[in-house]
Amino acid sequence: MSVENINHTEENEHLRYDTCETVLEVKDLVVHYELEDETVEAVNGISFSLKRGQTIGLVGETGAGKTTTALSTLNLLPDPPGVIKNGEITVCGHKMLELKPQELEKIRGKEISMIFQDPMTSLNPVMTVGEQIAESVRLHEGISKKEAFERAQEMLELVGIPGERAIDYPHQFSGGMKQRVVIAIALACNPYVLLADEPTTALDVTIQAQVLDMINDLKKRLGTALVMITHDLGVVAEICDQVAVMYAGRIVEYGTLEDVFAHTKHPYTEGLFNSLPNIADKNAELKPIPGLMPDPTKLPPGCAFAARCQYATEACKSAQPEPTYFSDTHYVLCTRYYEPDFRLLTRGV
Amino acid sequence: MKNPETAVTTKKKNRSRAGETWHRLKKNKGAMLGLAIIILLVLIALYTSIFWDYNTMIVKVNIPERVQPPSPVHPFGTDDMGRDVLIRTLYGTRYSLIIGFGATAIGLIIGVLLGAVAGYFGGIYEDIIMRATDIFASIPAILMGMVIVCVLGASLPNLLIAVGITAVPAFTRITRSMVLTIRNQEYIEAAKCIGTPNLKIIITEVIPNSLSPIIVVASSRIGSCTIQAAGLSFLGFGVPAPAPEWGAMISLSRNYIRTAPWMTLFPSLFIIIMVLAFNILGDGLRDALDPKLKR
Amino acid sequence: MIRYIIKRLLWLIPIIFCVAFIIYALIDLAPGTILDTISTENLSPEEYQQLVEQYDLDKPMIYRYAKYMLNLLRGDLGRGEATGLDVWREYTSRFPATLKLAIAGLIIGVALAIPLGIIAAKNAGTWVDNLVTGFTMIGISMPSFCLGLILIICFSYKINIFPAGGFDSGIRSMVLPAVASGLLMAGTTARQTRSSMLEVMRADYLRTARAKGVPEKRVIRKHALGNALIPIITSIGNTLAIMLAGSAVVESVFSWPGVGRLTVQAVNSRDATLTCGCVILTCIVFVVLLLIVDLLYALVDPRIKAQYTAKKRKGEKKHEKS
Repeated sequence: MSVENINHTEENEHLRYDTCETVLEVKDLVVHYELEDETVEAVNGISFSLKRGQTIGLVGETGAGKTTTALSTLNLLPDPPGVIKNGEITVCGHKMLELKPQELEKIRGKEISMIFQDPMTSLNPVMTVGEQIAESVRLHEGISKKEAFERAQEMLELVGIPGERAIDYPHQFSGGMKQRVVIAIALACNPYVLLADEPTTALDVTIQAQVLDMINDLKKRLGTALVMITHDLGVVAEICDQVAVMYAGRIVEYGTLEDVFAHTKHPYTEGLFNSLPNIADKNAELKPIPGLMPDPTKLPPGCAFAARCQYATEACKSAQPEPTYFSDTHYVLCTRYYEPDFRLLTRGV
Repeated sequence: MKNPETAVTTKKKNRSRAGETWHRLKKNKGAMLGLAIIILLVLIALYTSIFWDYNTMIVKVNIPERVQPPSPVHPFGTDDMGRDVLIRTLYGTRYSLIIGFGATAIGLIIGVLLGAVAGYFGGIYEDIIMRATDIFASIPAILMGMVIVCVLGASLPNLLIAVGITAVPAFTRITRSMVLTIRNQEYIEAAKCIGTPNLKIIITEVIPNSLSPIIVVASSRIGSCTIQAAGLSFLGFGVPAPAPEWGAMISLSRNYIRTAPWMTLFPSLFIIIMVLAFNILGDGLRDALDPKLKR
Repeated sequence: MIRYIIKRLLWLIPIIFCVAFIIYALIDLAPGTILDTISTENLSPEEYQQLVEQYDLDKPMIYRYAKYMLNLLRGDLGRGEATGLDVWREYTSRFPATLKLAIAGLIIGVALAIPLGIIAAKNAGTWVDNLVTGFTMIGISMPSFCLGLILIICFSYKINIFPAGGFDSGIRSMVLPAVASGLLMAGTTARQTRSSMLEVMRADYLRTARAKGVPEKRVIRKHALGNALIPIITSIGNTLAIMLAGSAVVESVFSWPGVGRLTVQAVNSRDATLTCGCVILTCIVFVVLLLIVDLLYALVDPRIKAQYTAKKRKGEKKHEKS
């Protein structure tokens, strides 16, 4: 609709935009939650980077450290108990972990923003949705209240909600509509990076598809780089260029969509695929991964997946695997690939 | 990310509910201090009458020694009748303790029964009880207390009744709302199905399961009942002179506030310490009973 | 909305009936009558009989109650038997003093309590929090007369800045009673502010606000406080209601000529009409204030406003709230 208006500030910023080709870079991130009598090792050294307009999918079960990674990226981890032990996060040249709170406030929402998992609780119940969208615009672009409100209405239209509903409160919207509002808030200042934390999990299936389409569409139109956090491989296949499969706070397999989907290397990724029902062959048995994710307060010394892995050997349990590269873009953390002729049973070529 | 509650339950499964609460309470230093003060006050209340005779030490007028400032002989000074303020204050502990516990107990018993009946049976019972509670609660407690004491006569039991009755609505409401949430749970349905009598269900199932919020209300009530009773005594609607009830002592001391502030200060200090101890313990108990509320 | 207000005000009628009944019944139950408080020794038996008839003491309690209620329906609160005071005029002449004190206390209390509560919640678990929590704990554990008398000892006698009581020295005579009621109010309100802020503090929408770059100050003041306000308002409203209705203790400490002292005087002189009138009027003030508090919710929370304006209202709703 009014993408031109939304992008009106872009021309002034072309320079900046061009100078930062890599809009997001996460290096060796380690995050712990230090509770009263134990420490949860939520993220244990992950690295990835994202160029402008690209989309990366962070895939994994609940508890793999996906949300923690995203919150750390914004330097928004609840502290206490969350502590970033190590790592470097760069958003468009800003080192997020070294900035002062006031400087961070200028970057959040403007250069990087986030869509949260649960639209029901992510909106302030006592402010109109228009105010909530306009707030971000006013803060970052210093325009008048009226202009900001008009922009909020445009944003609502952009996500498919009539602009006149800007004066309504969140409780007057359905779940899918609320998620659209959350997306409108995140995109209001046209950020370079958008973190989407399971944006569709809380929604009905039909609404899920609409919201995904919308995110995909907006991403293309606004040129935003996207970090898609999900446990749904279907979502990944639909919108991601790169995939990082996470397990117990580590990226166990990383590659392009094609690398990971067509040339699956890690036993865990294989397990994820085999857990999906196969429509073509209804009689085929589901093969769920046995067992549970290890307790993040007592991670094993070796590969965290070894206990559930059908390929595991004694070597897997004793030492952390080092990455094995199959191409410039594709690597896995799996001890078994130290053996040159190791192959997965069901997938990968 | 991680549910702290499951971690707790798996680790300490072998402890009973009460044991678990006690374990958490023990870790709270403030609550333990409060408990220690209360135990100390109870001991004082129990033993003062052994050390000091009521007639000769507590109420006997001793004009030569009247209005003396604190000294080694009379650490808290003496009052207008020459009585030792320290001994009177210590002796007064029993009144405030009896009122605090007694009035709360009266409010608790009546309130919990009414609330349980209202919540469990619903319908007309509920309407009558809750409406009556609403009406009752719209009369300010201190006025109610004044009228009741005035009518029944100023004495310790009447003060207890007056303060206890004003505590009823709080218990009725909390019990009813707890019972309402419990009433429809499966185990109550099950008890009904096998023909357990209603009263038995209320006493053996409903009340025990709604216990922890009631305990929380009760523990915070003890302090406010003590304050309220002291206030009534202060206004002259309480334990009659010459009994050394703290509120009454302070009320009598007002005429000497300029010349003998110790007569006001020491009993005040004791009231504050006692209520403080109850409130700290109450807070700790609330945190211990409801770990979800705790950070 | 208007229907709701009317409904709540109609609720006053049964309250008034019951309150009057309770008081008449209690005074009837009490040993002695109004005549015990007046000197009757010098009266002849005829004069005594006349007094008995004048107060209907030979009739059953229910007769006096019915008579009182009939007068009340005509808007006549009567004249105190023992004190001879016109109840309505006396109450309304005393009420402004009570109101003044309550409002001054409210201002002091809120100005202290809300910042303290927010600071404690923001620094939850640190020494700042412990300090504030400790202070508020002492605040709620202190009977008003203790605080009042301690203030008098400190500021009237040790250093003579403010008068110990009365109403004569204008604003200066108000300082101590207002500070006493304000500090008492601050205790409960600060605790409520802290706990409801703590509850809101971890809310997802605060994370949303932070993620869009809202400065921390604004996150706390606008987003968090805006949502934490309802229990805070309830707490303030309740304390204010208690201050307006039953400030008997504070008024008595500072010899403040308000309605609280009037009530004490009425009860002390066994004056059924004056007591009844005071209690009824106080209850009305109490209920109206709680109604105002309820209406304030709608101002703060759009979800509650939606409830009021919704056509269909369930009777159960009011149950829940009361």
